Amino acid sequence: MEFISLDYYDVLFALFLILIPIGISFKVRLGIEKEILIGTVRTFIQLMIIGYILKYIFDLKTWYFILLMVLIMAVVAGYNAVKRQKRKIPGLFSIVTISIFLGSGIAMITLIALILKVEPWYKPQYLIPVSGMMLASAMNGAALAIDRLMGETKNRRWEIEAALALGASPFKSINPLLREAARAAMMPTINAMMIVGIVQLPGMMSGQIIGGVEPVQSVRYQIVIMYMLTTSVTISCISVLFLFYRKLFTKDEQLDLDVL
Amino acid sequence: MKITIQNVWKTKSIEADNGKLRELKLLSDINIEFCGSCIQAILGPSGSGKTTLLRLINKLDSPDKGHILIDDVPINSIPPRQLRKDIGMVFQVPALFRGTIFNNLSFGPILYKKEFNTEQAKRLLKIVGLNDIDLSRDIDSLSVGQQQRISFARSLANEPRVLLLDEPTSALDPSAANNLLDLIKKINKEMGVSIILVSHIMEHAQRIADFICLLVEGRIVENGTASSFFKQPQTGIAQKFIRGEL
Repeated sequence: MEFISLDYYDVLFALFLILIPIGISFKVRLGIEKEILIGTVRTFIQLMIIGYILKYIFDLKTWYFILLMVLIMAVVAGYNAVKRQKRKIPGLFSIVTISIFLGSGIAMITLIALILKVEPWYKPQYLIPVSGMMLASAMNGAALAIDRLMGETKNRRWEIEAALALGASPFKSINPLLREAARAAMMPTINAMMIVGIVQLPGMMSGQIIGGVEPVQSVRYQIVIMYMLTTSVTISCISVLFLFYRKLFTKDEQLDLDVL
Repeated sequence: MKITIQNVWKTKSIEADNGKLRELKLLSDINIEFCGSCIQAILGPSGSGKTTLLRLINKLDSPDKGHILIDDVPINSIPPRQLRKDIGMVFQVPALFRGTIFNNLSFGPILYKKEFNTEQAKRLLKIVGLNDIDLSRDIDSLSVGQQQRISFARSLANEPRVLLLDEPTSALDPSAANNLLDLIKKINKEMGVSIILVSHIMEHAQRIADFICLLVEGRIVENGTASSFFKQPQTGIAQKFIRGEL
């Protein structure tokens, strides 16, 4: 396996390249120089920290530490998805975290235990990167689903109330909007399946190829990952919508206008 | 069906200019009894709490204080779906569901697992004055007036005992509005459906209502028969309203 390793001088060289977007932002007055700078520093710090944490975990080889790491990643994903919401809705964090964990969990178990048959199952060089990918997509899907449902509910409030006034249950009255939100949240993942390999070469596959893995082998990995990502996003979106829509109604089956 | 409102209060939290929440009084100490099988109009200027009162009766909102009784049974002890089957509501906007006319008309009967066929749908359309319209037409292809009539027909498909109408003529031109008011009268007389009509237009109430209640700034200022309201208004505010000065 042929692999070109990087030292800190190489990273420093890449850092100089960031001066170009900062310069452009300044020249055409985009006003985002500070954000680019903060992003640059955060990328470095966050990835260095995770690099050392991973090194530590890989060395530990104990299942509960690795599982704890996955749990922490799920909680952070849940927190990030909730943070994007303008309205503070009680209980939203647990709904989102459970949904993200459920969607990625099912996909991860299938991938690790049934497809890759990793021995032992908690082998960190498989479990951690796979969890990262699944959790990140599930997080984006869940956040998008809630955003869309909130937006649709505001825009189509009368439709929901008309259905309630006819005697529909909250679920029945909001059902068309739930479908709409699920479709919107799943579309980016489905679109990614449409263009993968044509417009874009995914990071994991590219990483494997750079790492010296034979292209056809890395492609097989990527295909499996794409299918698992779609599964993970779908389950997370459906689960988050199913658990979340109840927050939009009172116990008397009224649309809770204070939440919107 | 008797609807009794006793000492009902309703407030709403709104965000003030300084970003702080403040309480806005929507209804203050409302006491009224709506008779069965008649047309009762709730009149009042915009923002007087008329819509809020209708929403409370349909249980789309709950009062902060006070009681609402349906045939002497507290509204809280009636399951919302059962209540809403008996007390239908037509909103200011048609609020139709995406799809065809038939999809909209059959919504209620499907909910209650009642048989509903095209013949029944056509009969409802005839009642609302849409005799020759194709049931498979998409609701987006209809005029606002037609949509409002479909909205009526959709509520009638549930065979309600009371129909709450929230400014149903607001999006219509005067001629279409008059047609709709005649239709409301017909529904009341021929189908025996009690009507509670909310409007800010006095002439509409004058045309069809048996009883009138005037609501101003969340308080009932006058309540009685339509003829006494227009001939001998008891309060100065009612006189001002009739003169169009409110």
